[in-house]
Parts: sequence; C-alpha cells; structure tokens
Amino acid sequence: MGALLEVKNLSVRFDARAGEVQAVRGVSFSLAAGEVLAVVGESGCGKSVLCKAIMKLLPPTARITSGSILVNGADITAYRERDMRRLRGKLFSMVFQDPMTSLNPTMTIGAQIGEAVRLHHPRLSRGELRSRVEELMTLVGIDRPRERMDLYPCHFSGGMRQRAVMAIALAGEPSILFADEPTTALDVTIQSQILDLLREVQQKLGTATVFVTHDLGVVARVADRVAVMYAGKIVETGTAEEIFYDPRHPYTWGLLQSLPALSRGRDTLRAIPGMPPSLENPPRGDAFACRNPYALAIDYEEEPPMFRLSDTHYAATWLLDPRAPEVIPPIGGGLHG
Amino acid sequence: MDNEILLDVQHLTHFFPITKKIAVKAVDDLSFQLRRGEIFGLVGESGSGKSTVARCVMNLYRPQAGRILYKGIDTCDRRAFRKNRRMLQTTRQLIFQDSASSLNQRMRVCDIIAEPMRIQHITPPRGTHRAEAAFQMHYVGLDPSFLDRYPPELSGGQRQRVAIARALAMEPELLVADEPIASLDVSIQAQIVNLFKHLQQEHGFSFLFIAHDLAMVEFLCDRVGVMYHGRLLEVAPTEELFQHPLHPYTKSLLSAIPIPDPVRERARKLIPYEEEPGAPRGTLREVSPDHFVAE
Ligand SMILES: Nc1ncnc2c1ncn2[C@@H]1O[C@H](COP(=O)(O)OP(=O)(O)OP(=O)(O)O)[C@@H](O)[C@H]1O
Ligand SMILES: Nc1ncnc2c1ncn2[C@@H]1O[C@H](COP(=O)(O)OP(=O)(O)O)[C@@H](O)[C@H]1O
Ligand SMILES: [Mg+2]
Ligand SMILES: [Mg+2]
Repeated sequence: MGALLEVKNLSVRFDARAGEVQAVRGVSFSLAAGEVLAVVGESGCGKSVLCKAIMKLLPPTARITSGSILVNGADITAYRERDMRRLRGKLFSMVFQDPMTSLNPTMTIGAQIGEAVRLHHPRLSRGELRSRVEELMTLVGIDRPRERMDLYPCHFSGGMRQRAVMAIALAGEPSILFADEPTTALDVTIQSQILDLLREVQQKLGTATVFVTHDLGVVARVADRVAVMYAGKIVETGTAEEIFYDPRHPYTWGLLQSLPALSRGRDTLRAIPGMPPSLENPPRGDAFACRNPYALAIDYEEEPPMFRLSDTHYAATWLLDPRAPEVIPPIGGGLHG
Repeated sequence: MDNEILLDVQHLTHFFPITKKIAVKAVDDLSFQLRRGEIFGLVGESGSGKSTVARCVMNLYRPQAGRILYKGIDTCDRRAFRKNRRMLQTTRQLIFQDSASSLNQRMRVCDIIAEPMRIQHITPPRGTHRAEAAFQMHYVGLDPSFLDRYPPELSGGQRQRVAIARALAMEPELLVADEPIASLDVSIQAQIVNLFKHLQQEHGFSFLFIAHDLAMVEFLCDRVGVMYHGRLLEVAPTEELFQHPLHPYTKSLLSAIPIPDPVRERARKLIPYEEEPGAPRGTLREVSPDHFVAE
C-alpha cells in the first residue's frame, strides 16, 4: 500500500527580526492510512511548525525552503491558499491544545458542530444537519446527543468538551488528523478516555494521525510509530516498541531517563544537561553533540546520516557507525523491568 | 519546614454567570492551608476549579464567599489589600496555565521578564534589567538569543518558560503555578522541577502547584489536594495519598497515570468514577494524621 502522506526533505525558515530561524531542517517521513505517528522532542524543535507547514498554516514570515509534500502521490507543495482550503477539513483536520478556548462559550455545542458540518456540506436541510450532528456526537462518545445538543460548553465537563472539539475536527471525515498536544490541558482520567476514543474512531474511519505530545505515557498508549525530533530534525524513528525498548539515539536516552518514574527516591530528576541550540545558527555537525556524554570527535565536524537498524527503525548518530566504539545504552528493554 | 501557615483559604466559593439565568459554580466551599516552605499540589478533573482557585488566591477574581488569608491578611478585603498592596504584589507571583495568551504580544522577551521589577521599582540584583532577564532565562533553559524576540515568534514551551522566568525574577515567597510544565518536553520538565525543588529547599519558596501529571506531583509535592466539581475530596501528605488513596475518585485518578512502556500502558485499565447524582456533599474528615477525606 502506498503512503497517504509523504514528506521529503522538508525545510522551513522564518525571517525573524533578530535573524533567520531554521525551524525545520530536512525532515522526511511517511504516513500510511490508519496509522498513528507520534512526534516527540525538545520544546522548540519544530514539531508544531512541521504540522503547520504540511497544512499550509504558517505565518507570512515563514518560507518552505526545500522539500516536497505528497498526498496520495500528488505533490501539494506549491498549492495556494484556494486549493488548500478545499483540502482542509476533508483531507486534513486538526485538534489543538486547549479545548476550553477552542469552543465558543456563547453558542450551543450542537450549533458549533453544525457549523463545521455545514462547511463541508452546505446544502443539507435542517433535519439532515441535526441528524448528522447527532451521528458525530455519538461517534465521539457523547451519550444522549439529542438532549445535549442544545447545551452550552459550560454545562460540559472538560472531557465532554474535548469530545465536542473532536466531533468538530471529524465533521469533514478527514483522512489525516493533526493533533498538536490535544490532551495537555486535560486531567489523566479524561486523557485516557480521549486517547481510547481517538484509537476507536481511527479504526472505524481509517484516519491517519500525526500526534504531537510531550507525554511519553501517551505515546506508549497510542503510537504505532514514533519520530523523535531534535533541533529541527528527526533524529530517531521506529515503532513504539523499538523506541521504548531499544532506543539508539543519545537524545532519546536522555528523554527517557528524565522521567520521574526513574528517579523515585532520588532528590533530583535526571535532566539532560545544557540547553538546546538556537536555531538561528545551528551548530556544525550533530546539533546534540555538546549535550551528549557519548559524543565522538566527528560529532562536532560532520552531521551523522540516518543509520538503518531495521525496516522501521532508523537513528542519526555516529555511535551506529561501524568504526564507533561500543556503547552500552543506559536505558531500554522496558522502563520498569 | 515550619508549621507557620502562609496561606489560609477558608470556605472559598466562586460562581461564573454564563447567561442571565445560568451560573457555573466553579469553586464550592473549599478550604485548605499552605504552610511556609511547603509545596502543596492541587490535582483533579479538568474544569474542577483549580485555575479559579489560583486566580482567587492572586486577587484576579473576587470570590462570592469565603476568606483568603495570606500572612494573616485578608486579601479579599479591599481595605486590607490596599494597605498591603506592594507587599502582596511583590511577594506573590502567578504562572498562568495559558501563558501563550497571558503574555503581552507586543513586548520583547527581555521587557516581559523585567516588567514586574520595573513596575515595583526594584533594582535588579545583577545590574541591568537585561542582565537580570538573561540570568533568569538561563535558569529555565532558554538561550539568550531569545531576549529580543516577541512571543508570537516562540514555540509554546518557549513562551511558557518566559512566563516562569518572569515570575521567578521577583523572588516571590509564594509562587502559584497553574500547570506550569505541561507544555514542556520531559527533559525541560525535569529541569524546571529540579529548579522548583532547589528554590524550596535553599530559598524557602512556598508553592501552590497545580498539575495533571501525577508522577511529577508525586516527585515534587509535600502534600496534595484532590479536587472534583469545585470541592476538595481528599487532602493528604503525598506518600500517604499515593500509597493509601481513600476516595474513589482519587483511586480512579491514580489508575489513570500513563506508564511510559507500550506493553504495560496498553494493558492498563482505568478504574471509572461516576458521582452518584444527588449524593450528599461530604465534608472533609481527618481519618489519620493529616489525611482528610470527604465523607
Ligand atoms: N513566527 C516565528 N518567527 C520566528 N521563529 C519562530 C516562529 N514560530 C516558531 N519559531 C521558532 O521555530 C522553532 C520551532 O517552533 P515550534 O513551534 O515548531 O516548536 P515545537 O517543537 O512545537 O515546540 P513546543 O513543544 O514548545 O510547542 C522554535 O525555535 C521557535 O522559536
Ligand atoms: N472566565 C470564565 N467564565 C465562565 N466560566 C468559567 C470561567 N473560568 C472558568 N469557568 C468555569 O469554571 C469551572 C472551573 O474552571 P477552571 O477553574 O478553569 O478549572 P480547572 O483549572 O480545574 O480545569 C469550569 O466549569 C469552567 O468552565
Ligand atoms: Mg508546539
Ligand atoms: Mg486550569
């Protein structure tokens, strides 16, 4: 089966007042129908910019400087706003971080979902619209939709609100859903329910999802594949099992080691030392080198290529070069085992 | 940690009118105390009123009922507030949940961080306001090249760290942090949590720490309060709460902590919790030393 979405060597720059920012630097990945790809990584490493670049929602100061975006084999890199507007909602849709602010407090839930449905089916009659809204509410697990349609967001709990936000995002039956930290503002019980719902809907509709999150527990629950980003690049990618049980990039090790579960009884958590590099002048060689306790001399000179570990598992670190000294990963093989 | 009570919240109640007829009871007769030098965690359902408590404590909302005593001063009393305004504004700081919308979009990062110092005419300990801003940025893991950027030019996590740096620059005695780290990656979360712990241990800061990440709460907090629908259902020292949760909602919450391990996480089952409609509103009762639960 061909890829639904294929991103090749994509680079994005911002012309900021203070200088040029290289937010995304040569990112490639593909997404099959019905697949969940989790994107994790350093704050500011380009995850949100990557999603926005694919949906063409970047601010005017941003430029795609190289690469291509293919959807079902068609190159949409040069599409203009008019062409994109037809694709959004139907092909792409998105759920953003804060469910509290993405709903209008003065409109009923039903009216807000209805508005999204109308965008894709402008000719529906009132009755048809109502039944479509009811259908969507049922799909996202809101019981008694007929009564609840006429309620305002304030009558809904946080979880119900996020379900309503999902119903809006799914109104156009998108093939690809971009979820940028959709559960960050939710408590853990609701988060669990929403994630299970996402999986269910995704299996029912075959939606592919790009899921940006900082919560590695969330990644463990929903992801088929994981892409780990650092300083504008994907540094490791693999199945969820490969990333959690057999991580190969020192940055991935650092992330997993920072988890509080691994510091029980200690006085401090194990943060990665140092700071992420500024993307205005990314350093030569491997951008992670100066924070990497396993850095080799070559890391400061030359950027590592993507080394292949399996059909699904790749990592960009010189440690995988046959000439590199053997390093025993400080983590892996199950976090609690 | 001594037993002096820094913040005493008594029977706090706050409503929001939605339309002419409907109002939301965001906080409903809630009481708790924060001791000096303590990190008190507030956890609970989204929409249970945690942020509203934070805003009432910081005088951003005027509660309909109840009292909030800070160092013995009733901050909801207009006269007492006016008399102590400078002390209240310099010794208490708030980190907002959505710093993205709370930062002034038209100010540069260095001015945002130095603004509270400017307003309060505080001489920056490191010479200039810019040097002070750079110092605080270093603390929260931001490169000095961000000093001249504007908030829309930052990522979500970078903006959040600017908000944290701004609050810390004032060296507050009480820091109210409303989900300060949820939008940061785990390594930076660890860095900020280590910083908070350092500020508590070495500088005696007290924190009201609101969070969803129970693993972080377990690591950082001394005591934890569990909120649901505007009320506190359980309050206990952290270890006690995680080892011996008593309220069914607390049990449900603890069962929902995600495990960063695909096999175990996918097998994890959530213990559901539904409040029985019309159930009597319990009051907190001390069942063992310092462990309170609503019955
Ligand atoms: N409008 C802009 N102008 C200049 N630089 C920008 C702009 N928007 C983002 N950036 C920069 O681009 C980089 C990537 O930003 P992005 O928002 O994609 O980060 P992210 O990975 O989503 O981070 P987070 O996890 O904190 O949300 C950051 O270093 C940020 O400072
Ligand atoms: N400014 C506001 N206007 C109307 N309702 C609000 C406002 N702020 C909060 N609420 C409502 O008050 C309740 C508690 O909200 P909040 O304190 O934000 O909860 P939490 O921070 O625990 O998620 C929710 O039902 C919310 O919808
Ligand atoms: Mg982002
Ligand atoms: Mg809140």
